[in-house]
Amino acid sequence: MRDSLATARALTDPEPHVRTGPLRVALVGNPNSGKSTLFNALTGMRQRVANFPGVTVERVEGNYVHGGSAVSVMDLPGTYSLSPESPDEAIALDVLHGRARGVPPVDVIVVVVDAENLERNLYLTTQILELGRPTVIALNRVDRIAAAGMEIDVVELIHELGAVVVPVVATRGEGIDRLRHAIHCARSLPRATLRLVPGDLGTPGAPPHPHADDAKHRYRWIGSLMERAVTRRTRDARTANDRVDRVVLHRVWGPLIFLAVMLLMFQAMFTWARPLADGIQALISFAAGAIRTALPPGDLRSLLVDGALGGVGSVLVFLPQIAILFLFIGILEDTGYMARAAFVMDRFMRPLGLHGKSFIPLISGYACAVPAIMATRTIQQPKERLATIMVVPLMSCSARLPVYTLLVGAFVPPTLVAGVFGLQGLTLLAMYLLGTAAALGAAALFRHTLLRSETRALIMELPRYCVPSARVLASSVWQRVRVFLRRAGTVIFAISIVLWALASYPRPAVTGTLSQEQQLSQSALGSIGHAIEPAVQPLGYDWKIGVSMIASFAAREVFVSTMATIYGVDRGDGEKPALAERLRQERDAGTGRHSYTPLVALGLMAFYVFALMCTSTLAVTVRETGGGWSGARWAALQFGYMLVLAYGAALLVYRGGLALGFGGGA
Amino acid sequence: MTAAWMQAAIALVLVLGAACYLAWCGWRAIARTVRARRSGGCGPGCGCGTSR
Repeated sequence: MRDSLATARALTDPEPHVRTGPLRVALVGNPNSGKSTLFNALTGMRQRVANFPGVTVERVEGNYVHGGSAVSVMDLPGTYSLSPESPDEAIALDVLHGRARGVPPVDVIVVVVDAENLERNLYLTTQILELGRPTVIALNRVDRIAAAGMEIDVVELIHELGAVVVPVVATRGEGIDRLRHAIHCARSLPRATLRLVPGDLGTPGAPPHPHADDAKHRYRWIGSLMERAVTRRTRDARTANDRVDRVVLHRVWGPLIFLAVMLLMFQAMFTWARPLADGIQALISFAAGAIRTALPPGDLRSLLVDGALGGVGSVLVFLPQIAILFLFIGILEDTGYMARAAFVMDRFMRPLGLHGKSFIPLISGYACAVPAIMATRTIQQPKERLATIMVVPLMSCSARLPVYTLLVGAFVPPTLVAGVFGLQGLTLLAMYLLGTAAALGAAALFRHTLLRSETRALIMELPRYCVPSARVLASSVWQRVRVFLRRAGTVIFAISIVLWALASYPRPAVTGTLSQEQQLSQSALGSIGHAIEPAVQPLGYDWKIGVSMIASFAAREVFVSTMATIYGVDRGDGEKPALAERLRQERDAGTGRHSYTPLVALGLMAFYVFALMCTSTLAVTVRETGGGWSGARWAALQFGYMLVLAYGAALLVYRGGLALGFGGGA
Repeated sequence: MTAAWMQAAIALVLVLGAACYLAWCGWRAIARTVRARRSGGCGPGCGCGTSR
């Protein structure tokens, strides 16, 4: 632990100076003890929660008012002790010790203790009580202890620990008012006087890791407290959890179950989403028809129908698929399966130089690379963490889904394989597996070259299985869907309008003799596209795909909206079929052959599997790799190697396919 | 003004507005990357649902 004057002041001042601001409360506790759920219950906020350790990796603040006084609550990343092992644990301890930059010292510490894992949680609790600061213990998940065959004597705990203990059920909001009251009164109560280990572990100058004897002494005391305060009705250590884990964590069944879960997810994304997507498409067509009826032919009508509605609508059609993806990820996280998947995959990741803890950020990358990169803070080994950050964007995020779905829907027939699995769902799964394999391969390369170090053994807490709360799931899906809708309504909307203008102007002086296709080719967008064409021609793409690819560096979904805008303008003022149908029908004006073949589509999907087209991801990479020029260099390397990989893969697929006779253009 | 001219004028305003908005977004993205070390939380549109 770092020594500092601030720490010394924070820890030794028995009566912190009186401030006029709100009461500052910090929630600390072991990972997955329910701190964020309690934070949400206290403040009414919707901080992300899930059933695996390491969900919160940064400080989050919220407020509430109790008895007319304002209270500011900080939700901190979980930690097992006062000796930080990983960057996220260090954040919690810096705040606790008043060392965090720009964060005033906390007035009251609330230790969130998981009643089901009381013994382990008491280790950190005793360390915090020894700090002698106003402390309240929130004994969470007390509703589950009866089912676990336990009884906890709360009065005995209060007596032995010398601190206020408030039983709560954060998920249901039970005991929250009592906890608020206890927090309110904490500063006026006598401080805990617990002293288990001479040479307090939390004091400045203490060794970075607790001495083994200290830990032994502390656990011996906790063991004796457990005997007095906890009654176990059953001695059978094997629970339903253990029985399920015997199958889920099995050497053979474990990986197969994981693969089956993934397969189910991608099948569901195609089959369940279809009716909803058709409904949205019908609504968009209806809106386009209404605008055509309301406005005479002209620029505004073309802008609204071909630009705005065509562009935004083409992306909105994929909303159900994105919602289903997030629903599945939420279910995996909340049931407790995600931690098991990390454990199962640890065996396969170890030879690559990563361990199972890297797997959770990688799987989170299926939703979005930004929180996934932040989730790497739970990885203790810096080079292992850096390698994980470098490969996370190779995991196919939800922004790639519209591109895959459009191309799969247009060029992969909806036939059944083995009478059960849809070929479209299997193709989608193949794209995700390709990204995952590339991420693991790139990680192995980094770990054996630039980022060489020993791989630590995986030590990870497996949370109890639980039925996900419908409210939490709905909230999680809605928050992510809202982000998608906001992006469709802002950036994608604006890009569609600008692209419409570029595709519509300048208009030739005499339009009568030119076809719509020729007019588009002579527009500003056409000129840009023809300039780009030599770079994308080796991949089998025309200028329209080239322009859409460039535009999608703003956001990947923009590829779809750009194609929709181009083909909206291309067809003039009449009724237009869906974008997938237009891509299937598109023919080269010169040769008369189909412009888009399954081979071109496959190459394009390969490009999108590997390419990093997200400024948010680059920004977070800069920050999480140390910031400054060092962070910028890592981000530049990440962008560069992924672009080379993307171009190479698209070239290989197209040229390789042609050489093998899979041209398919007729 | 004729209906065609009115439509063209409104379209022009919308296009200019969209272009300005995108320029502002681009500027913010660059600034975010440059300030990456000091910024907290996720960037807009990251999809994680935790940005406040």
